[in-house]
Amino acid sequence: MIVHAILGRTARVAFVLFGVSVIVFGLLQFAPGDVATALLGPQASDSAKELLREQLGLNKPIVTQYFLWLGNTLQGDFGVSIISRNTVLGEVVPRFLNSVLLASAALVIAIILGVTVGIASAARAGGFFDRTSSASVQVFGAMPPFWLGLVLVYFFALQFRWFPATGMTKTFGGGDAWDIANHLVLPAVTAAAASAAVIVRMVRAVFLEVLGSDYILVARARGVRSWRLLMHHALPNCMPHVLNIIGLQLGYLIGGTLFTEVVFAWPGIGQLLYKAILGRDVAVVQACVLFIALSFVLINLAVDLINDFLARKMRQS
Amino acid sequence: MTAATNPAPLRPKSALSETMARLLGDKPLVRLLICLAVLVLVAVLAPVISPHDPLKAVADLSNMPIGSDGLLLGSDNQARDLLARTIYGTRISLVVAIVPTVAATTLSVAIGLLAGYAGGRVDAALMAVLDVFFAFPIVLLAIAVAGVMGPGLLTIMVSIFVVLLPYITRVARTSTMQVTQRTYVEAARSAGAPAGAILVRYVLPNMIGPVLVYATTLIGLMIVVASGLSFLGLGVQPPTADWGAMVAEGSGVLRGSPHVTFVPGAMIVLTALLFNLIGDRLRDLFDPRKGS
Repeated sequence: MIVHAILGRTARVAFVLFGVSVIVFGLLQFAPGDVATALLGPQASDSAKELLREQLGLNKPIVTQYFLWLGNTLQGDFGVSIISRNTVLGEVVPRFLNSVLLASAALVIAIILGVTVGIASAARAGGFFDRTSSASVQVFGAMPPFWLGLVLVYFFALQFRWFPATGMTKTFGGGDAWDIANHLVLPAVTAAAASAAVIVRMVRAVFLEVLGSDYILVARARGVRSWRLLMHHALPNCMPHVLNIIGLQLGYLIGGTLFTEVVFAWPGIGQLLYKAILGRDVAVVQACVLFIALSFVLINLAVDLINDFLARKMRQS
Repeated sequence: MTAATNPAPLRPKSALSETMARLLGDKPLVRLLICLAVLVLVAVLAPVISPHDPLKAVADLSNMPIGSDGLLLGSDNQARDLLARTIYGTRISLVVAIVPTVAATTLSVAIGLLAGYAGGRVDAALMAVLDVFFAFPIVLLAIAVAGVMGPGLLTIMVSIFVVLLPYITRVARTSTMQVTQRTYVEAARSAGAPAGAILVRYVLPNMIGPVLVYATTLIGLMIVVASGLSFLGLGVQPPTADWGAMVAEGSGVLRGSPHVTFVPGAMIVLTALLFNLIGDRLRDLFDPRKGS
């Protein structure tokens, strides 16, 4: 039964991964001009282009090209960056890890903020706190992350000087955990804001529904105190929903992280993608898109599997 | 006198006029729609109401503060009138969000109708393809499309269109499937009506409501995404006034003249907020269960 469910999901994910690879491969075909020129840059010599055409099978049918590309990609060979002349993989991996750090910090902030404010709003629905938080949720939900980032930079980096405005470490003598954490605060808050807003809204709705159910009314009638009611009676029943809500947010969070990295010059995959697009570094663009989409698919798979597991456990108990 | 006592004519009201009456009877929604109308008027009448040419340096100095002489919102980093640029920016923002949404909704309804009605393998194939698109966070997909196409107004519209298509199609398909199960469709089918006629006459009018509401709820987000593409330099090119690009230009003078960044950004927030509120209200009106 469990094995069956996992196999079913895996088959779907396998097809999705195939589709993702086709789209990423296709990005190269849509790039303006000749593929070899796009990959090697305008200054490349004719002999170098001819060599690359031979290697990538550019004179062969498109299906053959796809499988050659897929073979190279699966072996970690994404080609060479025309900007840095490093291997694309060597460019992408360290930046990917920096992005994971930023996105994880943002996710933690979004969850803590979203769940606590959501529960607090639901506890006294219609009260002053609820109305204030609902209005803030609307505003932050409509706020572009790049702009929020600049507003935070203006106040907390340029005016109050609490946090640095850009980068991940100090230029000289930085790089320890404290330094990185200091640089992480503003970008993480920026990337978290929109997700936190949506989590507040959905957690509030889920809690309101649970708080209106019969067993909560019974518990309340028995005289269970309200905070105990929230934490011990309502929260466990909301957990699967809350987890699902957080899973649905990851796409927004990753999108927000991409913009945030550009604003704060955070050396992550979003900034790399941005520079690669401006510099027409097609191989790097492909690798960035592939890395981000792959991690998104795998995270979603993990969330689905955990949800299945929780749902089964709930049914058993 | 007789008019008051006469019963209303027994002609059934059309679904359209009934819907309109319901929409216009809702005061909060009407208020929001008036705000939207004002915004659209600002965009349409930009050449009339704008105090200056948005592309020319009109101020004595660049980065003049809000409330400078003759310049309500001051000037930007190239001594252009910030108010004029903000007014003209309304045009791009509205066009870039609304045109692709309308286009994507039209195509989505067509695909959703066919897949939802045909079912079986056609439907399964469609769902598999949609799954692939859902594997990309929307901002990533938008950036990737815009990145390969090269900057421009058309680029932004195409990438917003591509981003929206899978989401609206999914809703159109679900809505079609629900309508297809109703008895009147079953009746028309067993009476031997051709599939095309059934789709257009019975399924389309009944499946379209939820799709339109859903598409409306996405416009606000699309304004934010489109402004992000402009911010990255993938949208209309300078010197055209565009809020996202204006924020990017302003970020260079953030320390001394934050208003050059803050004003266009605030307009993005307000516009997206307006569309979000309209979308939420429509959803609450037509599907009270989903409201939060």
